[in-house]
Amino acid sequence: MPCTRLALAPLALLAMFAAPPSPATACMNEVERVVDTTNQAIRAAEELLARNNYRSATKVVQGTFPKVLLADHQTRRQALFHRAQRIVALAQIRSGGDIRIADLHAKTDADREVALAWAAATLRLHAARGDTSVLLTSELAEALALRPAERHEALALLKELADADIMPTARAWSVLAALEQQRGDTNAAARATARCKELAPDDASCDPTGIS
Amino acid sequence: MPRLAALALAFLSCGTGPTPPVPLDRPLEPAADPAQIARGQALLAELQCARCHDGDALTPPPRERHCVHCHQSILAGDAAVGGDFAAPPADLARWQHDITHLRELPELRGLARLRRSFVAAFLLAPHDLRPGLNTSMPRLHLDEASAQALAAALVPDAEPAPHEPAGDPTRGRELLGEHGCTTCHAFTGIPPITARPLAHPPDPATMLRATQQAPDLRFTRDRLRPAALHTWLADPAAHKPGTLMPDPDLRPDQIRDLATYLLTTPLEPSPPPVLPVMLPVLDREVGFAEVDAAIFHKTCWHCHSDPSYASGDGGPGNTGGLGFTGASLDLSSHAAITSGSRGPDGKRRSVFAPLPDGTPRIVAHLLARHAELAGAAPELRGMPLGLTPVPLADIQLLTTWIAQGRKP
Repeated sequence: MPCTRLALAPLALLAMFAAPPSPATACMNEVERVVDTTNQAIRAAEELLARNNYRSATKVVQGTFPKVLLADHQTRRQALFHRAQRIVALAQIRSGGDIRIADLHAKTDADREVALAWAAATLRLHAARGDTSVLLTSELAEALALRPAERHEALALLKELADADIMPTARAWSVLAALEQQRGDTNAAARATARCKELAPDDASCDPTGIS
Repeated sequence: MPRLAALALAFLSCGTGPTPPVPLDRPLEPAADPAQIARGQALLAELQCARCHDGDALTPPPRERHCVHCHQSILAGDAAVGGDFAAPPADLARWQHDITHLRELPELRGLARLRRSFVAAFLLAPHDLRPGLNTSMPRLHLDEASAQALAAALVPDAEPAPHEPAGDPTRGRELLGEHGCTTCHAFTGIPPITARPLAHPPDPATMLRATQQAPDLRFTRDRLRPAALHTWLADPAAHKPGTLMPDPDLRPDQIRDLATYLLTTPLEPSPPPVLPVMLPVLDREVGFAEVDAAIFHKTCWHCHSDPSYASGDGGPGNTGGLGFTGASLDLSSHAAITSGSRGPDGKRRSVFAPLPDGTPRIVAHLLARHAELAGAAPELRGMPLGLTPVPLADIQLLTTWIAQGRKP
């Protein structure tokens, strides 16, 4: 029964946020998070993503912003729309391009490669638009780390964050560890792994398994 | 010495004609320069003074951008009756319980009674003017010229020459107690005065508001123009409609006595600032949730929020506002806090990086707020900006969490 409940949880979230977003506007932070259903939906998608429920996260986002794949789509809730795009991009990256949404079919290796390319391009676009969020930088590095031609850039991005002591997540340390391991710097990889484990002792992703 | 001088003047003038006004040791302020007034009016908008204050010279922002109106709306329960703030009753009740700051602030009206030079100096180095209020004027990003321009816009008119003769300061001191002035007003620097109960006390809620907003009378001589002090004491509401200051119901001679005491009585110097001392790191483990509940989520994130979830506005401390360009500091989650802030050189830096004395930068800002309220002028801007300092015991949680590796 508990397993059934767990399986149904994403569906319940989907049902909650399938309704169209409310036009509410209110003061920032607490109030807006409570009264605005679009805000709630995207934060719910973030939570699903954090729990590795990539498909559910993507479905919530798609229900909220059906045109989430369109790079230049304009909406009244642009900040939330951009966040939604990042969620879908990360879902693709962390699932290996295995999320089916709109024109991203996820049937073949080529489809998955297209999805990963879309994800990396989307995150790069957000960075190019002037979003200087460190979290976005680490997400972009995560995407680039999956693309052999762009691993050098991924490593540079993450090393800069690590050197400035502003690495945002255990996952970012994990990606750095894998990149260091991949280029043969085992000491640097061990240090990054140690910091990852310090931040997230129970997270299996802290063990660098290499980047394929 | 000023008190003696006033007494001597009163004695010498006995039976020899009108007593001269309380002597001024400074020239009268002329009308402000029109160009400076215009610059100041632009700064009022640029610094978003209307996000906290109401005033004739201010254009009010939408309710959701006005910190005080937004809080008042929630406290009044408007959120329960629909509109943009329609929120579940449980959330509304929680907000009503949590809102302790920015419930009410002085209105920028009737400012002609203020000395322009005081306004400029106060804006540059705000101090605890209203001891009963848990919010004080924040240290904005201002230079001297900007402060003077703002003061010119707020107090544009020339200072009228004082014409009331000096009164009896000893009687003035007695009047302070007899009329219950010190029921609401602190008056630091003088021997304590026992206030009689007010003759016509307001309702408790109004009384509370009045007590919170009443200025410390030690600043009156620097803050108010002497001529305006007399007319203010005669009829406060004529100066500032809606003021919480009641009509003290004083005769003209009593007004002179009281004004003379306020303007001339010797003041003990303010005690030297007592700087806060950090508590030692705790032996027990402190998790992020505990620090977040006590500090980041309790206060900080209101001005350092995630713009994605706040209509693109991350607050003055993140995306900018109140005259700050924004330090790109988001304190709404562990990942965001760990991401640091943008330094003066434009590069991102860790908020945990130790300063030369070893104190992590974010802790130093919290300690600086304690120092500000103690009367010091720390180099770092105190945080939370203009609000009650974070208790030292909560800062201890933060330092412990940092020392333990600042885990999520």
